[in-house]
Amino acid sequence: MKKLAVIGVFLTVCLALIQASPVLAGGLSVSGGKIEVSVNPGSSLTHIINVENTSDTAMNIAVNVEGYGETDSNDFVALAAADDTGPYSARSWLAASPSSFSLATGGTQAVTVTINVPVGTGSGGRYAIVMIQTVPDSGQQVATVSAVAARVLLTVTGYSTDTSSQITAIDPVASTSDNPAGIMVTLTNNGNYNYNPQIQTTLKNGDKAIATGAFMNPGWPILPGYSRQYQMTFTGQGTIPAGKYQVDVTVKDDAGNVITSATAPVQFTSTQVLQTTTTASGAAPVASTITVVEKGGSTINWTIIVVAVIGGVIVIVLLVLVLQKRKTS
Amino acid sequence: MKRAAIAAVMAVILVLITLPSPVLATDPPTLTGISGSTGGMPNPTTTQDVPGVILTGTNFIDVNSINLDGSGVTVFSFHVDNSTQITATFRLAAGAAAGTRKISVTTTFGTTTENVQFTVNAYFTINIPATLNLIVMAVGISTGNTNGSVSTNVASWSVTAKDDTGYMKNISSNAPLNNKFEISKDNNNFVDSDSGHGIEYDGNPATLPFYVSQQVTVDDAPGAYTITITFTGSY
Repeated sequence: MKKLAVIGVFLTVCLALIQASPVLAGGLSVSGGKIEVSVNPGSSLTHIINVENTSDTAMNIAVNVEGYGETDSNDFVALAAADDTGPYSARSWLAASPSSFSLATGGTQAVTVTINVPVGTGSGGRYAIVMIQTVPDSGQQVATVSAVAARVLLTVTGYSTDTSSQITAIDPVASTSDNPAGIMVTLTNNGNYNYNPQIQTTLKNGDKAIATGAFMNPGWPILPGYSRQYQMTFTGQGTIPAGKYQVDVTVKDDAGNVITSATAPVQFTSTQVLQTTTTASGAAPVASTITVVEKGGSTINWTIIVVAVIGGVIVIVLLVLVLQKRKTS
Repeated sequence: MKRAAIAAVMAVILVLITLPSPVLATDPPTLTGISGSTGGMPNPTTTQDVPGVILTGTNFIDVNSINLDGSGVTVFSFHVDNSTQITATFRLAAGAAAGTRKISVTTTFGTTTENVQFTVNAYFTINIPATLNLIVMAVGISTGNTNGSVSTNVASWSVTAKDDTGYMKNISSNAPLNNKFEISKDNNNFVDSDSGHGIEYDGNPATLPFYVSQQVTVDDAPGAYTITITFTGSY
């Protein structure tokens, strides 16, 4: 009986979905896919997102406005309306048009995003996502969707921003055969505005610093009301024995202002391998000289100089001729 | 003859004094604005020219060069329309990094210091094969793989791949298989493909290796199943 079931499954599971080789139907290209502006309460503005099909097949595209959220480990997540209930959502302020369209190969479409900021809007940032995504082919076994989440980060003018934050956890990360020891910092933004955290950590044995770690956020902000985890490796010399240590953590914003700091004890139960300090060698500084390929006109009036010189020569010749004529006469 | 020479020299001096001096403007230039083409979109593979960049300011006299800081944007040509306006064509290198570049104008009498900027617009292209087929799945594990890619001129980007529920579902009944559909970017560390998991690609490499795995059991009902994995990129 079991054998029959196996055969049955073998023959029929997904049998209807035998397909040809995968077809490249991606090539969803988006420009203007990030909206980061200051807005006044009661104002309205528009932003253009250009969408292009750079693939070799036509594609159907849908555009939706969704909430912008984060998780501990995800830089961004799109939130459905039912899940987008935070006080800093801009989802209801936005509309995108057209909401669906088809693009032939090489075709382009401008999507107009209209932002209507309500009168009486309070302080802080407001956030949303304009999701631009291909519509999957039906009946495929494993269909894929290409999507671009155009993040919208609005700053309401007329108010001060608050980036008050709290370090809610500091957890040691033991070294493995592949990775050196490190630290996991959990940061919660209790303010009303986003920022890109820059985190510096120092591992101490008593008062002596024995290793450091740093996280320089490359561009993903922590939104107000969200917590995020940041893992850093410790850089030092060699190994450290099992034991109790202390970690100092300092969080700064993009401008280098200290947002918060904390100190916590950590314990490693075995010898830990640190990331060895290395210095880049042989790297020449990158030149930033711009070469002017072609030079256009200039307003220095060389014509005047030439005229002056020619005029002078003519005057001299005339004078000489006059004098010679007088002399001969 | 001597008197003639003296007279000639005096005449030349007289002419030069009475003519306007070509180097009277010795004030350094100022750059007050940019209009016309204030930014441009680079091509991922070839250079891209941006004509019609109009720079306004003062003392554009004896202009030697126009420069932009950073990399990826050069001045292909420029024409000094008058002492307060220059029209230029900027050239964007293939895939020039998105962001702003400060412009400066250098004349014989100095270099502008004002913060007037030209913008290199961002582009982001995500390319994922539309389908990935496991052909006929039998009891046991079925696997497959494909590669996507990202082409962009931004320094920081992220792509997540996942499905809402993480289950392949019967096309007719919508009933799921017993085990979740698993995905991986290295063919080793497979994770559930549901919204709580999924995989994330950050910045590098620009290719998106994608591996899938489905465990089929004898308890799974025969039929045709489907799942949609959404690759969402942002920058």
